[in-house]
Amino acid sequence: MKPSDKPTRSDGVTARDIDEAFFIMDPRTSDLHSLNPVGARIWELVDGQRTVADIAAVIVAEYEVESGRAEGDVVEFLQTLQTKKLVDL
Amino acid sequence: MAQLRGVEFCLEGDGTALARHVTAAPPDVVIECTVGDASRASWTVCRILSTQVDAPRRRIAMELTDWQATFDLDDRRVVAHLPGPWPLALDSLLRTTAQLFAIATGKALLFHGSSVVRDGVAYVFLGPSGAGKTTSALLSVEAGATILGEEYACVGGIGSGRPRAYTLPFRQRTGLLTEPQAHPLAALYWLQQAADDEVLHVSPSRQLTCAVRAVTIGVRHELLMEPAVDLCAALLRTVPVDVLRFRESREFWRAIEADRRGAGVAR
Repeated sequence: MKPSDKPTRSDGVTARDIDEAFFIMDPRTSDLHSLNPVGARIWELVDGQRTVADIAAVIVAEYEVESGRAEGDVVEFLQTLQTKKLVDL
Repeated sequence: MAQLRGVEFCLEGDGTALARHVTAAPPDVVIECTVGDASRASWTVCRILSTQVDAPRRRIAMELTDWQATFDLDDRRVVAHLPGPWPLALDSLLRTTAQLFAIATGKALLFHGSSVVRDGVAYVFLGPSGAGKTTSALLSVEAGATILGEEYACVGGIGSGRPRAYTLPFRQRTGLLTEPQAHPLAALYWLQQAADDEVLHVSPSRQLTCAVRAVTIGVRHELLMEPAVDLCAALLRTVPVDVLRFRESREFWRAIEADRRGAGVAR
C-alpha cells in the first residue's frame, strides 16, 4: 500500500452506529467488524477520493499524534481492511 | 405467517407438517405457487442457480434446482413455481420465505442453531458448523429438556421485549417433525467445545457479532443484513448471547444453572 493509493469501500459493505458502537457490515460473509472511534473515523474518510496520505493527515490533525506514527497506523489498519476484503485499492 | 395458495392439492407424500401449523391469524405474506408435473427419480442436493436483488424495488428473484420464486418484500408477496409436486422442494421454498420475511417484517429471526425447552423456557445454541449445536440439543434431552429444533431456531416477539422461541413447521435434518410450540426465551449461547463447562459473559459488540453470524439471512445482501443487525441488537438488549464452553456431556447444564442462579434468574 502506497501513500498515494486511494482506498475505496468494497461493494455492498456498509457501516452503522449501533448502541454507541461502530460496526462495518459485510453481507457477503454475515460478518460484523467492530471499530474503535479512530477506526470509525478512518472508515469515514475512505471515499475513493482521499489518498492514504490524506487520511493520515486528517488523523494527525484531529487526534494530535505524530505524523509518522499516524501514517504507519493508518496503513496497517487499511491493510487489515483490505485483507478482510472490506476496502479495495 | 404465510398463506399458501395453489399447491395444497398437488402435493404427494407428507404435506401434513404444514397443515398442523395452520392458524386463523392473518398472513404476513402470500405465496402463489404453480406446480409442474416433473417426476423425481432420485434425490439430488438442492443448489442455488442464481439470485438477483433489485434493491430499490425491494425484490429478490431466486432460481434453485428445486424451485424458482420472486419475493416482493414490500408487497409481502411471493410468486413461485415448483417443477413437480415435491414436498421437500416446498419445504425449501417455505424456509427461504420464512428467512426473508421474518427479517423484512421485523417479526422474527431465524438462527442457524438448535433450541430446547427446559422447565418451561427456551434455550438456543448457536455456533459455526461443528460447534456442537445438534450435540448440545441431544445432550439436553438427557438433562430433561425437549427439542424445539435441531437445525433452525426461530425467535420472535423481539420488539415486545419478551422474546419467544418458536418451532417451525419444517422437517428437521433427522426427519423429525415438531408440534407447534412457543416458549419464553431464557438464553442464547454461542458454543465452544472445551475441556471444562463454563458460561462466559462477553462484550456487547462480540455478542452482536456472534448473533449476526448465526442468523440465516437467506440472501447475502445489505437489503437484508441491515435489518437483521437491527433485530439482533434489539434482541440482545433483552436476552444477551453468552459463550458456553462445554465438554460433550449433559453436565454443561450445571454451568448454565449455576450462571443463572448467580444472575438471580429463576429456573
